[in-house]
Amino acid sequence: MAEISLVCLALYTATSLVVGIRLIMRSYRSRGLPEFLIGCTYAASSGLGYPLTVTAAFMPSRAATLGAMAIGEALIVLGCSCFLLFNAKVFRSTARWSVPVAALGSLILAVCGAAVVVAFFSTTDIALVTERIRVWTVLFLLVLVAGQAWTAVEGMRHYRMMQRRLVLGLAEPVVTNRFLLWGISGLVSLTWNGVVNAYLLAGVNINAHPVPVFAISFGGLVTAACLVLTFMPPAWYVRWLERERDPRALAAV
Amino acid sequence: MAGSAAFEAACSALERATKMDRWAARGTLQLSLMDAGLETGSVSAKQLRVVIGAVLPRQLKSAGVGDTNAVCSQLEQALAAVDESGAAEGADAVFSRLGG
Repeated sequence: MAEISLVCLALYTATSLVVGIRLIMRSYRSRGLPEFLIGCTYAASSGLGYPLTVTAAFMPSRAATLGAMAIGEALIVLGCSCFLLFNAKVFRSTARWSVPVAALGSLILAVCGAAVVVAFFSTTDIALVTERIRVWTVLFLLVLVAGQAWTAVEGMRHYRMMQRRLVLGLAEPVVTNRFLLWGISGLVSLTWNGVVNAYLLAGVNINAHPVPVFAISFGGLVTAACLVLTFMPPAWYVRWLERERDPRALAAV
Repeated sequence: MAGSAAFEAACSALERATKMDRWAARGTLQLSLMDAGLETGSVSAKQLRVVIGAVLPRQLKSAGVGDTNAVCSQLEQALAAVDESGAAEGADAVFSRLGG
């Protein structure tokens, strides 16, 4: 079970890195802030930061372990902060509250990340580190889950609006579907991280219990699929969406 | 919440072209935008023209407005003068760039 979980997470990590780098490159050409923010989210947090923190324990020296841990946490915080800011700038660009809320979330994430790094630097006893970082990890995941809930709500809300625009010829089927996938990935990530957080709060080893392991594996797999279909849709998928749309458009006339 | 420049221009034109007060005009346009899946804060003049052609006449009739064609053409004229420079980019425009 743990091996399957690892494979799914590796797939999610690789997909995130590829999607993130492509989006950052696109932002360089288009000068668009949203592309840069979401590219950073995937490349920095799930593409680089997360694997660095996971592999930190296997580094040859303590200095290398601590270095990997510190860089990994910093990248995770950076990526998750970009994620919150993306939601604020793209979905609530005219609301006064959105950027301050994203900034507050980022501040909490930074404090939690710093506390985790300090715990690793303070002792070599892994059991003690695990105990010390539990509360910070839970708080970090709570902010992340809130961000993912925000993503799910905005994705589904915009999907409903785009369906109405489709009937009037004010939207494209591929872009409409992108909002649905965005909403689904938010829902799946919310569930996945919510389950992990609940088990962490209960003091369970999340790497040994089948429920969080399944949640992580399944969540990673579905999120990776959503990432590919949203940001790098294959030609056959785009053709299928356009074909699917045609009969409904005709019926609406 | 303030509407986009196009929305505000259309509201003022609707108020002038009918006997509706400010709030009735805004409400009628808001209902039309909701039917079309659009929001007052981000709707563009181009999108509003489609709404005026396809959705608004129905709303106007239910509000008791007689000559809907004349009202709609006055709204379209008002939209022609709208300056949309500096308008916030909508989520749909961002998402249309993100894929592919």
